[in-house]
Amino acid sequence: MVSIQVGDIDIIVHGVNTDTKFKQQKLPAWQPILTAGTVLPAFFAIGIAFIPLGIALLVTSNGVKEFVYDYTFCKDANATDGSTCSAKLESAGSNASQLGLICKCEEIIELGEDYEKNVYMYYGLSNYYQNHRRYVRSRDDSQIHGDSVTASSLNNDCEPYKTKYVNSSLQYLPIAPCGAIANSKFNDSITLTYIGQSPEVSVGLDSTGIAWFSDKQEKFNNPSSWVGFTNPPNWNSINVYDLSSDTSNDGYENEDLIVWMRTAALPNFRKFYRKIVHSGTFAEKLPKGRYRLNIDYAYPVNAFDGKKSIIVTTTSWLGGKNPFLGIAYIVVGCICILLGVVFLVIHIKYGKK
Amino acid sequence: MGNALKCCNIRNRAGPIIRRVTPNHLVDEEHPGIKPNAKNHPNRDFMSNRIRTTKYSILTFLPKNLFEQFHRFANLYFILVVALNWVPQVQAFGKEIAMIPVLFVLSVTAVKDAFEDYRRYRSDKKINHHNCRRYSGKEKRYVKTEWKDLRCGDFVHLSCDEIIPADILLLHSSDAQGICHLETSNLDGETNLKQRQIVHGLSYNNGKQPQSKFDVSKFKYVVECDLPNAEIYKFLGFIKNEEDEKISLNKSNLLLRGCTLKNTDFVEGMVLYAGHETKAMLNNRSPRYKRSKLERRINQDVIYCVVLLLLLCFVCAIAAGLFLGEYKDSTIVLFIPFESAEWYNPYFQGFVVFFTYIIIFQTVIPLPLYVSVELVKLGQIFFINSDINLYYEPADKRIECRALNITEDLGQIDYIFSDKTGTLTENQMEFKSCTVGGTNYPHTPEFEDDLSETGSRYSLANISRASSVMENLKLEPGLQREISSMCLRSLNSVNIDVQETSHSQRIQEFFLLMAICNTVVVTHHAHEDLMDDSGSILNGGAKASHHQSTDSLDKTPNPRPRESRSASLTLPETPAARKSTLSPMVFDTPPNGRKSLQNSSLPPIATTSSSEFSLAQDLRARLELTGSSIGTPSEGSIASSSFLSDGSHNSRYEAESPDELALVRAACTYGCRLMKRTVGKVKVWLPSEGEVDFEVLEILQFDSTRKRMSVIVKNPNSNEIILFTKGADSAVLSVLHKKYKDQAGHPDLKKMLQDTEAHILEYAMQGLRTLCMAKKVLDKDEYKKWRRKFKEADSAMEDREEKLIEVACDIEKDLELLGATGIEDKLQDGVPETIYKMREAGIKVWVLTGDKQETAIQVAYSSQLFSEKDEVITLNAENIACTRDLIEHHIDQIDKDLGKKKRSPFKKKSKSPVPSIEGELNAMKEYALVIDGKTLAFALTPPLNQEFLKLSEKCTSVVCCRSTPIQKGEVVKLVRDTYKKLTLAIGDGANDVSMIHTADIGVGISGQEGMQAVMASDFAICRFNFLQRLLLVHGHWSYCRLARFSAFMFYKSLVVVFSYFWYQPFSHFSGSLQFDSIFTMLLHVLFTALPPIINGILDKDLSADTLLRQPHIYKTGQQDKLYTRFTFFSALLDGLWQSSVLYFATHLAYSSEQVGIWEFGTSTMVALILVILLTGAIDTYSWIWPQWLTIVLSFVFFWLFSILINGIWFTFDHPANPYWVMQNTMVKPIHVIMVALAVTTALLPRSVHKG
Repeated sequence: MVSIQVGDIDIIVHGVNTDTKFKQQKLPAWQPILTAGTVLPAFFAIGIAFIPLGIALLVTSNGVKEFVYDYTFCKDANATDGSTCSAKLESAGSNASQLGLICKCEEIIELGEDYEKNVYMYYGLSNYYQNHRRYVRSRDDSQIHGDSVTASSLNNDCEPYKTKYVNSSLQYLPIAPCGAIANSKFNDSITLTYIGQSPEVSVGLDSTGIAWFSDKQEKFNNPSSWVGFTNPPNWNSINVYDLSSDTSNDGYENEDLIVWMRTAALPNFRKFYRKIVHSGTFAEKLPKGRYRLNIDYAYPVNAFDGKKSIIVTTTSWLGGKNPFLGIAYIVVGCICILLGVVFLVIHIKYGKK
Repeated sequence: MGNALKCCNIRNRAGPIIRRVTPNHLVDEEHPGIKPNAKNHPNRDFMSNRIRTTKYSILTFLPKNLFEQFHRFANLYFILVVALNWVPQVQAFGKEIAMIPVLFVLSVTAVKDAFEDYRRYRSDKKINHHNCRRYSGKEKRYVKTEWKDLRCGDFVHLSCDEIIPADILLLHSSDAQGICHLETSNLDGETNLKQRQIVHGLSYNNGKQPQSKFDVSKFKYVVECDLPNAEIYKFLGFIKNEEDEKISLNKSNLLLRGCTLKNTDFVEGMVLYAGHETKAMLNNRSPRYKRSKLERRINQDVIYCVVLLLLLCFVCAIAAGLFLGEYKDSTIVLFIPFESAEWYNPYFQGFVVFFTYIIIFQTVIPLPLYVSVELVKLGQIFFINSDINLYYEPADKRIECRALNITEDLGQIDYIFSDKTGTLTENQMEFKSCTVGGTNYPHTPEFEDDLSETGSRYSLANISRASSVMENLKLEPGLQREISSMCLRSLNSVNIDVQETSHSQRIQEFFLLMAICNTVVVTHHAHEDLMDDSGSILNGGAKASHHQSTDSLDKTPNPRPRESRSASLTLPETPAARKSTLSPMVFDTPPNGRKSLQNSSLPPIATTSSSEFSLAQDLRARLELTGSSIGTPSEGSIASSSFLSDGSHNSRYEAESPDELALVRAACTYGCRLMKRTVGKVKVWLPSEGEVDFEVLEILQFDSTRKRMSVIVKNPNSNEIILFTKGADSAVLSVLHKKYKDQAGHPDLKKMLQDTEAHILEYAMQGLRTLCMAKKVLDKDEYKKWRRKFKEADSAMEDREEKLIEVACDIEKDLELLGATGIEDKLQDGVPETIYKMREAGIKVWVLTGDKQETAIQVAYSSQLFSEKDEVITLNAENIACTRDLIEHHIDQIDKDLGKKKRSPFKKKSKSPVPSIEGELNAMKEYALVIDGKTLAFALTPPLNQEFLKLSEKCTSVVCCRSTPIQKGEVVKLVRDTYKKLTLAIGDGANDVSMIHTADIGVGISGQEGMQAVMASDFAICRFNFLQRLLLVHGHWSYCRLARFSAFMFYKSLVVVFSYFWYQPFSHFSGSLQFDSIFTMLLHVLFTALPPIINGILDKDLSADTLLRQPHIYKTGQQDKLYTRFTFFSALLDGLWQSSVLYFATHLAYSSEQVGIWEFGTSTMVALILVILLTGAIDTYSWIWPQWLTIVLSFVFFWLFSILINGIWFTFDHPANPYWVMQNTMVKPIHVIMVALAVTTALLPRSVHKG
């Protein structure tokens, strides 16, 4: 504000100087007005870009070879009546896992074509809500980070798998690792044998390199001592430091555990199980033919109508076999071109007015 | 403030409720060195002059501010939700992280509040540290003190143009009569000067010489007065003198804090009320809070949001129960870990998860909506404020937005109620015509030709016009001749001899009345105080010269008239000064004149209209009353005082109303010059006699009941007592002597009355404001008798005003008619265009004025309110029945007309497929309604008012003339409440305050009539035509921006909430979220907050020029087209579509991948933020760099932020454990491909819609 003393000239100067284009809302504007004229080319451009891209994606996806085998109801190898492992576990009741009950079963599968390297094995679970709110919370990241924790400092979200009464020490000890996620760790073990030639060759399976590097490096670390902990109830007698004979893959740093602990987003999910070791017979590929799956069936899924499957797959730059993206791109591209045509017609017919 | 009132004078509660103030120097004498708050100090209970208008202190800020914020419902809701999140069973987000948005919103508001409070604190500090001079009992002289150290009982010395620091009892003035003048615009907004008097009847010299020199130390009286109260016009108190007589004190003895001392060298007085107990502080009003129409709409939609929230929660809770109930034994389901067996109960889990869902879906009610709407409006206000087109250069004033939260209402106005005088017109009155004794003296434009023909005779008049100071007043030759002939005859007086009343005498009396029957104050010199700031007296040399200049006018004609005149023509350096300096009006000798009018002896007179003069004060008024600091008090006072001293030798007129100023100036032009006005005396220079001192016996002030004012003066030459009355024609003509009505006795008088009435009507037809002048010679005894009654009434304690009116009416009767004047009030620039555009924009304009019907109609025509093709309906009725008949008759008539019009021309056209609306409009006749005050009163009575509205709705414009301020308010209220339409009232004077308050938007014109209208208004502009830009451009923009901003905010929260929702069926309705809670919490407050706000402030759908050129665009706002009830649902639909695309694209794309919940969510989050930002971009109309910048920055910020935060290992974000998630997500090609697909698909409908 200028006081009253200031004369004409000063006021004008004051007006011009402080009133920038910004203040007067007169900034230059580039105005991409969304009219038929600008929207039309955009639609066509999107259409033209999307359709070939979609085809490329579809081709990529179709190039991926994937074999899925549902083994939920595989036959108990030790049973004579042809009953299933699933039934065996169910009959053991709710504490099958806690008893450490293992049912052996064998399945023969046939790969219809060669699986070029690299080939991976996944296990799949369906109807399994690893994304349940309370389940997702049920962990203690400090504990698996290797920080020293006590029974009281453990995250309460781990309940009811936070502490366990241990007869030998007559007290409640913290569970390592605590929480429902760790407790429900997938514990089927699967081996693969190529029986398409004789002698049979068992396929080498690598259980390392399946977890995120960042997880293994930073997030999961073993504590300095395992004393004063107990194992999760469902793990029977197995302790976390017994998960592998390889010390670099043991304890919290066990990659199967790490993979399991990264809870899946969707109720039907697959998790990385093993990498096929490409050597010997399998140096270039997993040849087509018959294979035998030997499964230590210990993971009960009946209670929630779950399904377990084993997936053998190659991979592309895009990931696994999934035609969705390719199809979606083609569809959206077509819709865009269609809209473009409709707009063009409207534009030609009424646009001039 | 309330506390302040309570705590004072507790001891007086039981006793008589008065305040007893003891002079502090007396206390000092008795108890030397006593502290002001010591126990035995008599003034200890009174507040000091330190003020504190801040709400908070540093210590109390946090609790107090939080407490206030929690009073807002929305905040409380969100706080409760946050609290709910701390319940372990219900918990949905990370406990600490869930607080971020609420804390963010609270702290933004707190910062805003703190900033405002800090501004108040700074302004307080400035005021508190102002200097003044206080009498020190120790040093026996005045010393420099800061305002805050003043206490009740202190004596203060004030110089001219100083601001009064506290409420002070005036005890001594430099003026011989013991008066001083105050400018009170800070307090009541009136810019005219108020006179104050010292307390008479006190002796300072041990009771011997009452008028002896004032000496503070001799003042030994205790003052008793009212307790502090807010009534500016009321003050009672008394002082007991030595003889135990009570000397009463009234409001004219009190100088109020915040006023400015004028026209007086210095004054001295005692502080009675200080600080918060002063009347000015007790009158402090907080700015008012209004809720806009759009905001009410938005609040309705918030209710939809609540319904939606509950619906979603119920659905999810029931589904959760069902899902859980499906398992035969859910305790052995591996992924359902509950702590105890009974929690596996599906009903219980359904119940618990309901609250979880309330936490999850809380953002359906957009938390940042409220705070960001406020921010957007602040931004809009900033740009409205800085619009150079709303800047009025002559006054150096911008638009002032006093209400901060109704900008968008400006874009939806349906009715404008406008005052006429000062709003449509300049309120700069020009004397145009007069009629004296039945002879018309029209100062017609044709006369100008006359003038140029007669040539150089009027050269001086030409000169004065050339110097552009006479404001186009052309002298009427006839009138001039009369005056000069009167001078020739050298009549001995203003002698009123009924038999011999000659025409020229009447003319002189006419002008004499114009000159003295008013409250115009003449100021003529700069005021200098001999005391410097620190209280020491300056030396005598200055004093001598000072006195000389003070008295020059009284003693002798100015010794240097020529110089000063030439100076006044060349000197002005500032436009204000140039404008206000009136060069001396000098008469050349008329054609046959011989006597020179001693023109050189005339002192130059400068006039100034008070508003120009008081600009600085206006600034300060705002500072004081609203706490917003624009200028400092000291700057203001410097500015105005230097302005005064510019023309130190010129006199100037300061008038209460521009009418009076115009009259005095006109009289002055005709040689009848008001030279000095003091209490009880008027010095006038008359053409026939030179200087004459009239003794003013009484002034009967103007009031709205009598509608006239009178002065009673005594002519020193003839010793006659004369009553001069001027007022509205109806008010004066009705009290004329009955001989004017008597046909037989005085045919000439009767004719004179008829002629005068005819002339008045003629003036009114020309749109002039008319005033009637009359006089009466009073019989001495009659006067004496009356005077006694008058004194009685004047001193009455109750109903003083009514009594005064009654007494005044007693004497104002049997008057003799002198004549009448016509004053033109020019239309402001651009008024017709503005009104035309308003009508184009579909706004109905009503003019509510107190003027005569003819004047009002004339102005209505000239301002395009009525067009030539309009049919004007006039409602003048004497009673309610008649009013009803008239209204009904006109409604029928219009219906019939319209019916006819509709049927006849359209029968032929009906075959054409689309009958053009414009054609229909053109074919229709338009109507305009005129109603006078009396009829309006009938029309406003309840059953009839609906009929009246029905009629007025059929008319495009309405003029209500002769309406009172209260009627104005009632009309606005009627329209506002009946139609629920937005109303805007615009006015400039105190009489418009009621309608400005009533209307949805009050606009004040900061013009000639003080600050009251501005103080009551929401927006204050300088010119009526600014309204055009304010409504059509800024109103439209604000409305358009805010409508789209709010719709966008709803859309934004809906799309986010629905993308939570789609995940629920796939997460067992457990209340699980795929998003990392850091992202969900920051999504609204950081990642997508800025672009919509920038759009809300800066986006322009159409350019200002287009909007001004095509006013009909404004109708989109009037008809709520940009924010309808469908807006919310279209936001809902778009939110549903976009969220489902986003979710299912991710779901399907990742279905055959090993994907963890957080990668899955992060992938969607990237797409979600892109979609939100791009949707905002599609909604944008004009792309300027801030919009580009914020959109790009927002995304880049989100991206970098997520990379950074995911690059650090921490656990407080449980359960998200987001370490390296973003990195692992974005390296996968599937992520980019999915995002591109989802974003394109999601935006398709909106861009199709736009296209």
